Amino acid sequence: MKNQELEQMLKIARLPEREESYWVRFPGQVMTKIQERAAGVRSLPRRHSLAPLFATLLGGLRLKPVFALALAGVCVGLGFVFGLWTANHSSENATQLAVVRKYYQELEALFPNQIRAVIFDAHGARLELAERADVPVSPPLFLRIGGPQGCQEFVTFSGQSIRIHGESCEVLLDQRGDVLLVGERSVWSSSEPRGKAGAYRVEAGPLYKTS
Amino acid sequence: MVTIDQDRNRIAQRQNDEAEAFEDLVREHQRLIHALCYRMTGSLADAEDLAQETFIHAYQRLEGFRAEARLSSWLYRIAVNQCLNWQKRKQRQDRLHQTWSELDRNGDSAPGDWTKEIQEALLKLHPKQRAAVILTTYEGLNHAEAAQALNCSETTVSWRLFAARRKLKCLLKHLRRPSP
Repeated sequence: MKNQELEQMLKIARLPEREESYWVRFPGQVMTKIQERAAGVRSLPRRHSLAPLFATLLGGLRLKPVFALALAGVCVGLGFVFGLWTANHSSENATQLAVVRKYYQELEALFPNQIRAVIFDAHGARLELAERADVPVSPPLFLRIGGPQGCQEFVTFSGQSIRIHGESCEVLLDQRGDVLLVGERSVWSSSEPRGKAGAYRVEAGPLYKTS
Repeated sequence: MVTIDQDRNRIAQRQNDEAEAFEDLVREHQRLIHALCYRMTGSLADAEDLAQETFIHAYQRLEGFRAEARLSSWLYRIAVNQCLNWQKRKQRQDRLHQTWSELDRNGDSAPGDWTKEIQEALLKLHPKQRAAVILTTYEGLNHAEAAQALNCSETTVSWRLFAARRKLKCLLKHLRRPSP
């Protein structure tokens, strides 16, 4: 067989075709990855001790080793998210939120229908799990609550109760997609622009729409 | 045809931190890089991952791009390196067979279509020989351009091509000569 004949033969081999939508989507995927990695690199110098978090979570729950390992992995993820979270640069919010979404997805995969809330505050990151996988399926909500005692952020669901600096509040999602925060002394709705709930400043919305 | 000046202007834009310009570059070169990665790996899924890594790597090292070279040659070099590293990490050729069996099920193979055999023969080459064949035969690079993309001398490219052709002829000798 001559070289030319071989060349002709090789050129017969076709490439599997991809749908046109793939080529439209691909550049955006690359840019998203680049932004995510850039955010990861920026967060590296920020170090937070995860030991107290592990001690609290593992000690309090008395878990089986395999479950404990899984939870430890989750905590590492949460610690990473918290590292990003505390960056507190408004220009990075969108990127941070993307990372939170990603980790929420991983948490949800580990504990389907069991997550009540993921809480980020000055003490670190905490995960509130139901004893059984019976948390009703609903869109995850993101809340950022600022007050005199600092800022708390939550990923939670409609129907769950959260404690905002010691005060219990119920989170509800109405039919229009607005988030309601019903406390003992006040009610706040995301339909009220720049509203306040008592002494707190609240931002809330679906996790996958908030920017 | 993209000129070196066009490439240079695009890099200048990137250096001014214009991510949109880079997205345009990805859009323009994505098919070339996907094709190279596919022929190097024989796997659509791996080709996607490697193409993505190629562009991410390129973005992170754009400052190191020498504008006298063509951007496509530089991207080829990154992609080939990604593929060679992938080869070291693991072999996932089972996906190849899955892909081809899907093609066969879809009745997508024309009579006399030796795509599967040819791709399998390519995968039996040493990865560096395979890269030389892909860049010259499929991407149309001359030996000098391929040498630049592979970061080796033209003599090395020639030698790899010689060795690759010898092996391919042996592997593909059972196939009929394609009709003109």
